[in-house]
Amino acid sequence: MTIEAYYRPETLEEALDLSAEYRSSLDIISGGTIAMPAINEGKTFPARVMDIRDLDLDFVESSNGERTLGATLTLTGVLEKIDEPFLRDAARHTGGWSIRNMGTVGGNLFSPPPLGDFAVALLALDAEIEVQQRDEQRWISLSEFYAGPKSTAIEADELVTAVRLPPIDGDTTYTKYTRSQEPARAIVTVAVNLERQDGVVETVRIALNGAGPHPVRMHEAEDILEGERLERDAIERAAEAAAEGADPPEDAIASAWYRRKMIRHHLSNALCELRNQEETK
Amino acid sequence: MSGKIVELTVNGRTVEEIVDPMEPLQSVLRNKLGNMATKTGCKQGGCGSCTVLVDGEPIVSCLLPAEAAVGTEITTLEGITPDDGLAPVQEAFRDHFAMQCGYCTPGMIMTAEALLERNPDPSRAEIEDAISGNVCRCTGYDPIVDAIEAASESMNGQGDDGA
Ligand SMILES: Cc1cc2nc3c(=O)[nH]c(=O)nc-3n(C[C@H](O)[C@H](O)[C@H](O)COP(=O)(O)OP(=O)(O)OC[C@H]3O[C@@H](n4cnc5c(N)ncnc54)[C@H](O)[C@@H]3O)c2cc1C
Repeated sequence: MTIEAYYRPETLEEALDLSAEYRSSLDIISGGTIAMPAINEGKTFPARVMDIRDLDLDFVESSNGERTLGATLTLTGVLEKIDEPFLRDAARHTGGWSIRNMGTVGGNLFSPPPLGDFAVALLALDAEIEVQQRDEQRWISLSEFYAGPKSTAIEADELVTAVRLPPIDGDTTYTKYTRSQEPARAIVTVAVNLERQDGVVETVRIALNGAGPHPVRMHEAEDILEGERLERDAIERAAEAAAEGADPPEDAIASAWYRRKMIRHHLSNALCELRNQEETK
Repeated sequence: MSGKIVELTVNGRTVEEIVDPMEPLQSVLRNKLGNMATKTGCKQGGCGSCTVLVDGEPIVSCLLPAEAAVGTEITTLEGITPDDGLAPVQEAFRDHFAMQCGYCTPGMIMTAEALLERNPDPSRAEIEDAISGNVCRCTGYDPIVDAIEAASESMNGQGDDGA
């Protein structure tokens, strides 16, 4: 079976028309670093493919501390255009140099587990994504977007066009733990955004990669920490709750059992690191 | 099969070629245009042996549809090799025994070229980081890092002590 058509629309209107016409018989490729290996390997045989690289969606806009990243912004683009350390950390740990030159922010949202090393940071920041189809435009939270294993809350005729991040308050930490030297698949990636008031945790968002079918928030662990000081006992209970609540993928790099152990260990480390950091007002 | 004629600029020369929908640039460069330095490797973006530069940026050409490279400047190893000898990075690879089977070498050299273009005096850690997406199963990497370090020195006019 061969690919019948490869479309390269230059305007969003054209792209959304194609999506509306062909719906699920049209595959989308952004940077291609997930889609192309599958095609090369013969794992997928799309009839029609639409490449969205020419849509001018590789922008970064900032206003009042809020940032909007276009869906086709590459990870290298993030490093070139954004100076925020947490986002840079996440981009830096997503693939090697050539992959970062190709792979995009939008594509990372769709990566199968344990990939999603940029998306996990977006989740910790409570990002929203812009979804468009021919007759409608909407924003949904990234948590809503992750509807379940192998499914997202967008329809076949919809495109993700941007990711919006609220101003970053409080402290952040990002850790990607791999078995060998990077670039390598994550065993677990931990992304935390935490706000304190006089040492007491007011809000915390813990997002983990390698702990479920997509990057996931660890609400139980968050609940344990909120209202508490970041002390040994609370940290250990939160890390334990995250390990128990996780449903880690299993692959050649790590078993689910090992990932669970590492979730506990690395989340605990990340929280200790935040405890030792001066609280940012 | 619905092949399409596209115009590609490879090593400064514009050529026309018939490509299939989504045919990877790697396959066009190697199998159709005869740029044999662009190796056929894992086809998964994981080994780096098909690394070429697109507008100066290293990319894995197995993951880029050739059509998406229309309008860009593509550079392969052939494009950096002078007619009458070797480029400094190539010489350094030879002098430092930075290859055994040689399969990864063109991709390694293209990544090294891109690195030295951006950072003429990289540290060993920066070199290791840059080539971390290029896999070598023979050398253990040290000779490759030595070679890139030496190339940077010779290109900066500091000479190579050959050590
Ligand atoms: C060697 C190698 C190493 C890698 N290392 C890492 C790593 O360390 N960490 C990591 O997280 N990932 C890694 N990846 C995976 C991948 O590179 C990244 O996840 C990247 O961000 C994917 O983006 P893309 O644009 O290339 O995706 P694409 O392949 O272009 O897209 C993937 C799928 O997402 C959907 N899609 C993409 N964009 C949109 C959109 N705007 N609207 C609707 N649907 C869309 C399509 O269904 C498409 O098939 C690696 C890949 C390779 C080949």
